[in-house]
Amino acid sequence: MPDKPNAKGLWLRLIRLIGVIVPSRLRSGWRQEWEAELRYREQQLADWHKLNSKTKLDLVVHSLGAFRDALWMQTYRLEDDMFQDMRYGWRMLLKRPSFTLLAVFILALGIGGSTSIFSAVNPVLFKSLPYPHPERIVSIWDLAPNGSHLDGTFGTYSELLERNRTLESIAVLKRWQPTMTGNFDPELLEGQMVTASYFQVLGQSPVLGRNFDPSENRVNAERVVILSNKLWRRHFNGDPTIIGRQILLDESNYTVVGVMSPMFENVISQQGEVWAPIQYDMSQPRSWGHHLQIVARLLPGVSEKQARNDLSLIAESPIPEFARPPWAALKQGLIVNSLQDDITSSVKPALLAVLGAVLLVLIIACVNVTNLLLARGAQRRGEFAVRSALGAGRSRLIRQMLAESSLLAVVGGALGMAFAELGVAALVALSPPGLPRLDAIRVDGSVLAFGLIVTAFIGLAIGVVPAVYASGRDVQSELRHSSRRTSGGHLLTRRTLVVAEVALALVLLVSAGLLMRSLQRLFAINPGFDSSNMLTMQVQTSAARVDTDVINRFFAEALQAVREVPGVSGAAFTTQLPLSGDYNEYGVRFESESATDSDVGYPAFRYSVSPGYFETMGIPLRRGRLLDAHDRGDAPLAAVISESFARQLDVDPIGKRIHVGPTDRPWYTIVGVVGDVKQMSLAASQTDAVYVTPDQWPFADNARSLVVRSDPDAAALVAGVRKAVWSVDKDKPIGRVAMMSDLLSASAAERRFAMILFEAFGLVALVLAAAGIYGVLSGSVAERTNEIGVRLALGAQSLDILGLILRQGAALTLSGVGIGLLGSWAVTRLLAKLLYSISATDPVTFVGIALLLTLVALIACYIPAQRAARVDPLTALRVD
Amino acid sequence: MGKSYMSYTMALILHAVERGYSHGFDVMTITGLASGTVYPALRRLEDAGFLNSKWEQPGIAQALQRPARKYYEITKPGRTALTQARERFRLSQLEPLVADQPVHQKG
Repeated sequence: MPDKPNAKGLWLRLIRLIGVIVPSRLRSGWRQEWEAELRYREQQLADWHKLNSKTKLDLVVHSLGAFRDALWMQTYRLEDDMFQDMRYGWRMLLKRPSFTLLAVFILALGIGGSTSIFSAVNPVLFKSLPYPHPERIVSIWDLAPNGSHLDGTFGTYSELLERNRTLESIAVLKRWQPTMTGNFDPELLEGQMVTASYFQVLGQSPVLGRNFDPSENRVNAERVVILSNKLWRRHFNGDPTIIGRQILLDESNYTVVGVMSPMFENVISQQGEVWAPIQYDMSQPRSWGHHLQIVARLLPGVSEKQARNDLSLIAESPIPEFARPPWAALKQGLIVNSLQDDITSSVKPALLAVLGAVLLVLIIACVNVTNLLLARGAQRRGEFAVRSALGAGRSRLIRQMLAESSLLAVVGGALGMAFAELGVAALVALSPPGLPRLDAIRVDGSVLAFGLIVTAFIGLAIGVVPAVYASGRDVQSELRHSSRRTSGGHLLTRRTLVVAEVALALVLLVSAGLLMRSLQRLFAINPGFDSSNMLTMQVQTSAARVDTDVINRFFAEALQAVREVPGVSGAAFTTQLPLSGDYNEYGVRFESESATDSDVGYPAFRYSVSPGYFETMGIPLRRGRLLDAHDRGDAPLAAVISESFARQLDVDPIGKRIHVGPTDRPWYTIVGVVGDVKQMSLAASQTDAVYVTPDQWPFADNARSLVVRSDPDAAALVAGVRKAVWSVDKDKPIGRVAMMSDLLSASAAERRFAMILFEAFGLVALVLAAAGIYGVLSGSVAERTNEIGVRLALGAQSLDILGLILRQGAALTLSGVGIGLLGSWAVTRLLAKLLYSISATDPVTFVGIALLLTLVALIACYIPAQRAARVDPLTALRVD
Repeated sequence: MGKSYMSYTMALILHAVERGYSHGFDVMTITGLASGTVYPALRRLEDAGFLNSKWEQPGIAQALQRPARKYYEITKPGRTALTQARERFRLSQLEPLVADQPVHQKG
């Protein structure tokens, strides 16, 4: 007797389950066919006494194959209700092209806007860095006494390298801008000097050639270089024989040992195209300078916290083998941050704010289209009544409405994607210079997926309310009445939606207003110098030359040549240009202080400036004298300090002596005090500064900025000034040409970026809210024509009717404004980081924007109100 | 699916049905193809008009205490298409693979 097959085998249950996705009209046949086959087979196996675990597994595998079959069955859906609904919906949408176009356009704005913002935000906020195990990459900073991040020193790096127990690899890097020369125009490259471990930390290796060898980090080792794929293609036409060839950088020969992959993204310095081994050892004084960035990769399984503890322990317990100078004694400890946070933290607030803003716009757009659909639903009541009288069930009507809203969303989404492509291009063009991972901003798979999800969500969101209203009515009464009667619940919903729209728009507009006022205040700040009609550019000498006198002589001669250019009324060189991103700080110690309590000294910006700098920049002299041509190398060392720095001393600073940096050098005597200058940004408060002449500074700075003032348009002088510099030495690269006024506005680029987007979104929100109010009131006037006719017939004046409708509109607007003010009060504090010297609940902005929105809304109310006032009672009463 | 083109797999399945392997599982067994391949192919062949499907007599199924099975028959256009496909794919070389005896008559 054969075993009775188990009627409830897993395979049969799988078939029942999979059958759920088969189109319903084919489902029972499909299930029967599969069940019959599986049970036949099962019976057969049982008859043969072969129903064992292996054959049972076989049956399960076969039943899993049914899934593919069921998927294929989806093609039959084309004939299903859903597609009928779609076709019908499509016809209905085409019937009212103006409605459809408007709705599609509004949705496309919302979807396109949010998708393009998402594309910018995604790589920065949500995607991890494009390296293997990016969560293990950290950056390490020295902690300054004032709590700020300080670049690391080579000494600290060497100590950490030896003593750490939590890092897999650790590297230092510094910016390097070599000039590439040869039988072509000299080209200034952006690159980095790195330790050989740099690419290991990032988990990358060259696609061509090899990585650096640690031996190449030794002083006087052979000079080698790795190129970015872009540079290799641009300059060497992608020639694979480049490996082993020599190129001329800063007048020295470098052997190319590797080319990076085109996929390699150098997130630490996005423009970096060339890398060479940094050649330091502890015998050099510069090995204790705070000018290196430290990055490291944690050992697998080590958390950031463990690494932090490990490194703090090292910082707290110096050992004799690694003697530290006072200014790099790590007294305050070290900062360990994930690299991801490190490079994104500065733009995060702006991006999050912009993302929030665009989502508000998206919601407003949805509310608006929902309202349009509701209004149309009211006009189509008769049609729905007829369909339902003919036997369409409630669910069928809901599906019909959802099909229409989905169609709108899909078309809107498709157009939105086109908008997104444009939006991304605009964003990249608008983006602040500090925006990380710019190369990763594009419409890619995840961005498309975001757009799709948003579209699908919108299709449902905008359809649900109208669908429920359209389907939930009494057929009998609908058929009896004309389609012009009011229906209370439906209008109430529309009004609620409009109130929500006004409230959301107000939140956006208030945020935009706050940002705008911050920016105004920021630009009202005095940078400390006169930025008008000033041309700036950076002139470099090659880093290979270390002869201080040669370099200083070149800059002096170049300056002389520039001053002779017609139109130039003043020119000077400075090692640090305000608001350009230059950053060079030294610890300054006053002679009056005992050496023990000032290990590090006061941090102050150090400028080596040619005589005439203050006059050219328009920096005012407060006391004493300015630096002049007498402050040469053989003269007594003179320094000028800034006003804020002078306040550190209780006494008159003139004549006091200071050390700038190391204490083993001669004292500088303070000869003058000048006005404060904003160095890092307009918003930054740090203005302590020390100015010396290049001749009296122990090193020669290779890169100096030229500032040129002219009476006519300074921008026209670029060519002439360049030529003058090159007349002294034609191989000196000139870069970073900019008008000082542009640098000034660029220093607020992140705030400006957020503000422009907020303004654009605020404007869209304002228009949509006004359109929403207009739509609801027009609908209400149309539905109340009859009532208005009666009122007029009974003696009401036109003005009464006008007031009636305006009051209705004002009630909607004011409710929205009220809620919006409360919402803004709750939300704008999230913007705090982007605001400058203005409170997140600034009453002027709140009241001003509320008035603006009310005014615009009332204008939108006026048109339907006037139409109502002009109703002819006879015509109105005849309608019914 | 265009009627003019038939893939090798489809031709093989049509060939099997023509040889009397008229149930989905029989086709799977004889061709060695997976169920997820055979069934969609059968449906496409049916849609193209190369196959007809019918349910077996309810009496047989009842007697065996299982639902009625579906079986497939080749149509006239199906035969024409098969002839062309055989030439194109040299399906005759595969004859030994598809035995002349329907599988369920074995054992």
